[in-house]
Amino acid sequence: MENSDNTESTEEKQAESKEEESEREENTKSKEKKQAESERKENRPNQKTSSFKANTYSQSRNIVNAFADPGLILALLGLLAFIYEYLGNNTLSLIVGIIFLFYSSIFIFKGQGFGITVAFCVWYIGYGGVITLPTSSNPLNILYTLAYTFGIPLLIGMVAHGLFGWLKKTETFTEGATNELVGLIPVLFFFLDLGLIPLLTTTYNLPLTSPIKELILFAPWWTFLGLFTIKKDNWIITFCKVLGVAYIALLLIGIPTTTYAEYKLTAPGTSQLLKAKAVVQQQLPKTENLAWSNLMCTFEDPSHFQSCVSQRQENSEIAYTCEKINGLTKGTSTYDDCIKKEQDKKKKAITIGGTTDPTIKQATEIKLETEDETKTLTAILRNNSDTSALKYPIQLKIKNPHKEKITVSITCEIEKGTEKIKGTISPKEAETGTGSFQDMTDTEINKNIVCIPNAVTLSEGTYTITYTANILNLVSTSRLTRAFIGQKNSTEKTELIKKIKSTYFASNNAISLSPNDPVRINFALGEPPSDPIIESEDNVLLRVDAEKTGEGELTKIISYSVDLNPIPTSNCFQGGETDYSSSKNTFISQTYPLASCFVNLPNELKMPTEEYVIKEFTAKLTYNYKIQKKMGVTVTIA
Amino acid sequence: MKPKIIIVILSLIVACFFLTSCGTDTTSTSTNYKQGTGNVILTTLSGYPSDTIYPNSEFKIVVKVDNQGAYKLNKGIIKILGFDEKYISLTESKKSITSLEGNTYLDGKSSTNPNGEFTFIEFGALAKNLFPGSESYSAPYFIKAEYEYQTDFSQTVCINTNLYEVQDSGCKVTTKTSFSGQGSPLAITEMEELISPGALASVDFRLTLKNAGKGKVKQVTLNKATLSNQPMKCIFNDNPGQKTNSYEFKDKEEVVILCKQNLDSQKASYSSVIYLDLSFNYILEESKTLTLKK
Repeated sequence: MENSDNTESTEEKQAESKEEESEREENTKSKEKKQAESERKENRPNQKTSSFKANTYSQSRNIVNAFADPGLILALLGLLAFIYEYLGNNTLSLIVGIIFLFYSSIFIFKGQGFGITVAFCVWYIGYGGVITLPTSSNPLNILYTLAYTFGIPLLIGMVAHGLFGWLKKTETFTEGATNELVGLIPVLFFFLDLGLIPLLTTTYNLPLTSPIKELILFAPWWTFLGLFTIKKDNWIITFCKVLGVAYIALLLIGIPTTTYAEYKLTAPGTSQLLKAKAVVQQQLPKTENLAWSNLMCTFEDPSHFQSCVSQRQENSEIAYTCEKINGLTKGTSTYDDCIKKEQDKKKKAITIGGTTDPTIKQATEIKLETEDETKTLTAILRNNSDTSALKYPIQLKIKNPHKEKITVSITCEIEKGTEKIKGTISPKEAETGTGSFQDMTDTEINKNIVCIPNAVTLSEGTYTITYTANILNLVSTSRLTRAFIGQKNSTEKTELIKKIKSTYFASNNAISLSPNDPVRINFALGEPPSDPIIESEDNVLLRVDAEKTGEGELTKIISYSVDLNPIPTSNCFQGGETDYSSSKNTFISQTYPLASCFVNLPNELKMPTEEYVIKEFTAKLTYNYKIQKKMGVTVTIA
Repeated sequence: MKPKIIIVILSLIVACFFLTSCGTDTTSTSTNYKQGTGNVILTTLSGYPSDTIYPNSEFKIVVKVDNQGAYKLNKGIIKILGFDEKYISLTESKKSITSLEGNTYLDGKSSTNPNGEFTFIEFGALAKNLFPGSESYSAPYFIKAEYEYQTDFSQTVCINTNLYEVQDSGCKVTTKTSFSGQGSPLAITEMEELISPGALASVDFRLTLKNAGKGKVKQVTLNKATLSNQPMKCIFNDNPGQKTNSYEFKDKEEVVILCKQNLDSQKASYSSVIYLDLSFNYILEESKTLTLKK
């Protein structure tokens, strides 16, 4: 019993001593804390400095580390590629796109979705990725096409990844297949960067507005992907992300809702995408960056935001024409005159526009095409005077739906730097525009042409072969509808105008309609000419313009005529030759004023016997047009 | 007791059944066609013109004129207008409306003709060439009918010149009454009655005449206005310098007719009938489109 008591007392003592020890420890700790606190209070400034240093160090380290981040690398490289392209170089777009596609798939998404990327590349680049679907006017079918286009590589990639994970026993088939979907992100960016939307506008005629086109074309898509996938975080990266979002937001401000026109459905191929991108980039007028205009107008004139943006855009386009195209110096009187002239032209252009006739599906088309636009050509010559290896054929393709008599003469030139060599075209009749190249009336014309350099010596390097086709006697027609209401009292007039406008001019047909030819004739009649309703007391003005809408150059207007029957003919209803070959007309959309005169209405239109009379008038333009095709050839001498 | 009650009930039901079955149909005789806004309906006969017209082909436009109002359609003319002659030319653009029997009128709905009368007017047309390269042409046009029509208004009113007589057990004056129409597009939609008592007692009526149809009223003439078969003096309100019995509608959709009748004073209240006979020119227009296709 005692023993047990003793044992108990010993245990109690031990417990007590432990408690004392812990108390002591606590006291010591609290003393140390207090001491540390007082020390901290005393040494506060020094410590602040050291913590700042530590933060700066860690932030700097983050920035440095961020450079090793695949997202940042993509962002920077994407930005460089964007600037390179923005300066007008499209040649590397496809290669750069593919590099970025694989880079983002491997390094950013850690190989997830790699199967899709590979399958997509094999299908898209290897097999052309072209699927033709039936024509439809339903916008939903565009989504269907996209789903169908992506569907095949997607399915292959998902199955491959699922099987691989399942066999390796790292994940289930479903997990693997689902993870593969990540591969869609780089594919989507690949399409956006390469110009999917431009293709939709040129091939499918989606009437996308200029802001949307700019958003798609002039947005550094790979930079955005890189920025938003950077893992490290610091203020510079956050700032860049904010800038990226702000850029898109600024471009998006004021985008109106668009309606969808009829379009054909064909999945885009690489060459199509690149071409479409180049076409739309050329078509866009050289205006101030829309994001910048939007930003400036937010502060300058927020109450009239839209008109402010339009004005800035128009002013910058006019300034570009005078400064860059006409080579005038800002501040000079000639420059000011040019600005005035261009502004007048703009005003006139607004009043008498023309548009594509929706009922005419086949328009005149002229193309010079090589077999494969994406291939880089290489010529291995036996010696420097052997020019036979440089004979690369080109195809002249003309769609002539109205079976007009067309004559084509083709020339070629080979150049390297300042060295320019004249070429001879084969067949010879293609050069002179004779024989089978004269008065061609087929609806579809396809001709092979070869350029043979005339020079005796060639050196190694890259030569550019330029084919120039002069197409003579092209014809474009247009039509214009007007309603003649005679003399009515104000009440009758208001009601009648309302009725006529809603019945006959509800869509875009108050302006002249013509096929989507490279050059068209626009005309307008009325007071003002844009008004489709003509009253007996109106001073009726006729305005006629030619408008170039294609990529080539309008070299000459041979003749134009306007048929306003039963209005008595006037001198300005027809015109003769006007040569434009020396003028600079590099813009796709360019207007050439042709005539402007007042007309006398005959009684049957001045005082119609019926309540009103509907009349359609026509105009015809005969012109010469020039297109060029450049192809690069790398010459090596064996 | 109970079976007897059941038999009685059953025989009552059977009797009711027979009574109702043998009753004459009174609906046909009691239908009042002169109500609502009866219109003339213009349509094209299905397939004339067909949905698609081919260039350089002749075709017909057949217009059905269906008088769904309660009055006779007189002196009707039908026109096709709005075609561009470059694309479509008509052999005739204007024709008279004649009934299938060859009459120059179309009867309205009545107890003898509860469906109204209709007719077909045929126009020959020629489709010409499309614009070069064009695959189709959409040709809007209007079918326009102009005709004479009528509105009769007849309503029982209470006349009481002794408004302060409490003991009068006759009729009661309703100051404002609304109407749905008289079976014509031009309808009297509201009537206000105002009695001026005293030695020179009189009654004033304000009748709102409204175009309730889809077309336009050109000119309306008040042919007759009576109260208890006695002629009543009526004028169109806001019609300065014009004939008192006719009115140009122009851009307006309604007009007020003011009628006045002197009354014998100190007479007990009595019911009377106000009657107005109006005729007018009406223009009806239907918008159509036909498509020329390659």
